[in-house]
Amino acid sequence: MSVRELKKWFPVRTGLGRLLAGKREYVRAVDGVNFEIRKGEVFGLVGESGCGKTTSGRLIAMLMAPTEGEIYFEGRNIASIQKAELKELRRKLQMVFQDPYDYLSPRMSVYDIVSEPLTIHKIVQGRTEKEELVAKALQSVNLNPRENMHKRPNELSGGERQRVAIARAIILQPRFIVADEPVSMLDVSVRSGIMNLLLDMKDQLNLTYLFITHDISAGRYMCDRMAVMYLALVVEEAPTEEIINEPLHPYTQALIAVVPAIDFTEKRYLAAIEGKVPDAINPPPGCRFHPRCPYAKEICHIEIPSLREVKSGHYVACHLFASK
Amino acid sequence: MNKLFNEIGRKFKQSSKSDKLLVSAGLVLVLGMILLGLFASFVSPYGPYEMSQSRLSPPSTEHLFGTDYLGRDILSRMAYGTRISLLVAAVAASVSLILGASLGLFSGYFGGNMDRVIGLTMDALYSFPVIVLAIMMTIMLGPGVTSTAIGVGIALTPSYYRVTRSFVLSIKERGFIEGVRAIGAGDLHIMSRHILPNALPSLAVLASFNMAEGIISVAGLGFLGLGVPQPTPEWGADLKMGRDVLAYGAWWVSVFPGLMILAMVLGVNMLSEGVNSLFKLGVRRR
Amino acid sequence: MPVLEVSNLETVFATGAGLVQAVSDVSFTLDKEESLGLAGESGCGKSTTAMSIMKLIRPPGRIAGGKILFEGEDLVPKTEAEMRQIRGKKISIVFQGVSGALNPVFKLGDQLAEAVLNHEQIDKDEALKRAQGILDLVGIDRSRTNNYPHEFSGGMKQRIMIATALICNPNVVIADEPTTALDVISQGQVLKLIDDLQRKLGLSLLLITHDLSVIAEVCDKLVIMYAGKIAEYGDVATVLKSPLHPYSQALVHAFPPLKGAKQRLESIPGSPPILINPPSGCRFHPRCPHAMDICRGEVPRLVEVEKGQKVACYLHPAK
Repeated sequence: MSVRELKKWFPVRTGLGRLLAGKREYVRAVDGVNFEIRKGEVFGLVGESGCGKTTSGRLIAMLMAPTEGEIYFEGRNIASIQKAELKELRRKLQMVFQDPYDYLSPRMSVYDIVSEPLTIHKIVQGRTEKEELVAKALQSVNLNPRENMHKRPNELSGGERQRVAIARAIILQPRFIVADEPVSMLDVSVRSGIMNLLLDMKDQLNLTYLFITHDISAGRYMCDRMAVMYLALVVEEAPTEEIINEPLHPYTQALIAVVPAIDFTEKRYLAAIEGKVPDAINPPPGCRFHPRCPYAKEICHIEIPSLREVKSGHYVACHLFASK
Repeated sequence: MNKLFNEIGRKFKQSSKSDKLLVSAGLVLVLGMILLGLFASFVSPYGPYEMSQSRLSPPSTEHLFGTDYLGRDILSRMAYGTRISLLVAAVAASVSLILGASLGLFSGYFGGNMDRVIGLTMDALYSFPVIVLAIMMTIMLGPGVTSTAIGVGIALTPSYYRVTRSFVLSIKERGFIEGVRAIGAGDLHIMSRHILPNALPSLAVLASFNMAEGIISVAGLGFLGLGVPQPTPEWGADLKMGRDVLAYGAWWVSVFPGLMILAMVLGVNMLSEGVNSLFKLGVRRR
Repeated sequence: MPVLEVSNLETVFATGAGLVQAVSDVSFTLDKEESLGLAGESGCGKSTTAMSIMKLIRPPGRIAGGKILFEGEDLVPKTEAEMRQIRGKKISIVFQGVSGALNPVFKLGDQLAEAVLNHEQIDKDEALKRAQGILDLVGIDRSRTNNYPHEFSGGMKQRIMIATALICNPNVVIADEPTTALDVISQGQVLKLIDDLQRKLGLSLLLITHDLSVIAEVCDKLVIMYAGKIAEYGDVATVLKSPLHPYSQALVHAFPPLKGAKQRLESIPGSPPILINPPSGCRFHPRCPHAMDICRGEVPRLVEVEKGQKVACYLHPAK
């Protein structure tokens, strides 16, 4: 999977006067994002809320059409495919969402929910065959089929619901799954179970993941490579351990320095940088991080740095690394 | 199906006394009416068109409800009149439900200009009192049972449209809809399998409210001399007849049709209110 | 004398389905200028404990037993009128979910001033001056007293909540999930602020959160709650490095470390019990990998196992 200059701009409601004057405003949620995901890896998209990671995930899962840019999946540009091909594509490209409470139809049984993809894609006909496949999917997510098939979502805990959501996502045997913050709404002791499940399934079912999260520690546990996003752009992309131990972009450095983690008891918050993320309608000119960057130079106010390979497999978008 | 009845039974047991009373009373009245209509031929001692010599005779052992100016037994006319009312109301309800719900579904789901246009049309229709619209339809299509039914049907469409549309709008952005889209569901699948079934309870309640509206409209039309033609037994038309002979002291000719209308409308309303409250559907009447 | 001492607190809720034993035999102390973290997952009773301390539990809930000694005085028998003198003035609480707490039609300065005027007999101008002073302290430009709540970002609103809690110089601040909804960097900023204020104003802090990593950096002591009871209680560094209670162990090992050795995370099968009919004996026994017969029988008491570390578990008898 690779993404080239992916953009998604949402029009902002503009008054008639400004419209006529040609001043249309957009929320630039994703503004030219590039990265590559290799088969079999877990690729992390990390950042704070509003950085564009969730929108990027939706674009890749083809739940929204991009404003510009290309998305290559198994060699084909899927950014502009038509409805019929899109339906076919869904068998290979699935998504797991953040909210286990909102994302399952409240009036359907677990069987109905997990078998729905089979119905939509007309995979098998008879009820027995469907039940078998549903049972298999439930077993893959460590849910007892007999106990759970006839339950409704409100009879299940958050972790169990998320497992049902995952079962539904894998029943068509996809190749690629976009997981958008799949554990942030779960209790801590339940999160680890789901994360372990996803990792186990990756090996058993030959999957590739895009794992979107704001929790860097979770990202470190799950991901082989990570891309850090800030205000609609990727600022750094590298193997996980390098991002954590040798962050190069000042924003990544700020993030890693301040994020609390269970293995630290010193006051990391003292390192917190000032300011807040600017709004996505009128981002700062040049490098978007420059207003908060301790190393900002003249050029940072003017030119947006592009993502360059600074070490093998390690990309940074920062003028500090302009000349390689 | 079993589950549905269990749920209904359970909700009933848990409801307040007043709710239980409403639903039970309403149910009794409505079922009574339906049975009366179904078994009209058994209940009626005479045919509804059968004229006799005893004209304008007061209630007696021979004619429990008395006779009208043509000597026709009023009891029999009332019983057969039930069929007409129920029939027209049912046809009208079906027409408006199907039309209104489909329009509401598409309008709410797809939005855009289509939504605006349909919405404006519906708003215009909505602003007419049902009777006026029904009269217009009858004038355009000519008098008769069918045109009355269609007229009332069209008049009631906007309320279904509104309820369905607002329902669609509230559900459309819910997570599970996006979740289902992600597994490859097309718009039609989403509308039919996910949105509509959830809207059905509210629509059913609205339908029963509208039944009452429909019945009154039919009676109203009959009273005005439009709608169902003579000599078909219809409560409204008979009520009009009754009014004409009131000067002669023949109270029974108007009282009984009036009571029938009252009973039917009351029954349907009570049932609707009861169910609305029971399931906390919050459907507002037209 | 500790500034806050909770002893054997019992809080219950009478629901149609039965009596929910939300908080059961909870005891801990908060010393002056100390930070205590109250940790646990959803439904463990940590927020209910905080609300009980503030006497903000409303029917069908009620405090059914125990003592809450604040500066030596028991709060449990106090009347609502007496508590109103204490809330906001001596003990303040900062909540999660900030937007609802500020009235959108009043200016910031007025709302802060009102917070003071509720408790102290000073005039309006004096109150406004105090408001400006507290805004300085929390790092918001004092000229913004004329702004309305919607003109502030999430992180700033959280600071405003903190300002409101502090404006009357309380001794104890209870913070219930103060940074859960914030981004990592905003969270860092708010924690830095709390740390700063704590030192400057000599506050005692009770921090309630499910996030042990935040407690790790902010607090001195830690209480881990499960199903309404205390599982483990002790010094933060000790409890996190060598947790003794099986639940604490699983919880600590469920957090992914950032730089430490990468190991498979632990998870706990099953769900926390419903507190209407909690499991007999130790409430964790149905999910505990080390459950013994005695665990099903009697409720284990919180006993001191090492200096300053208490556990309620039969695997660790008293010293």
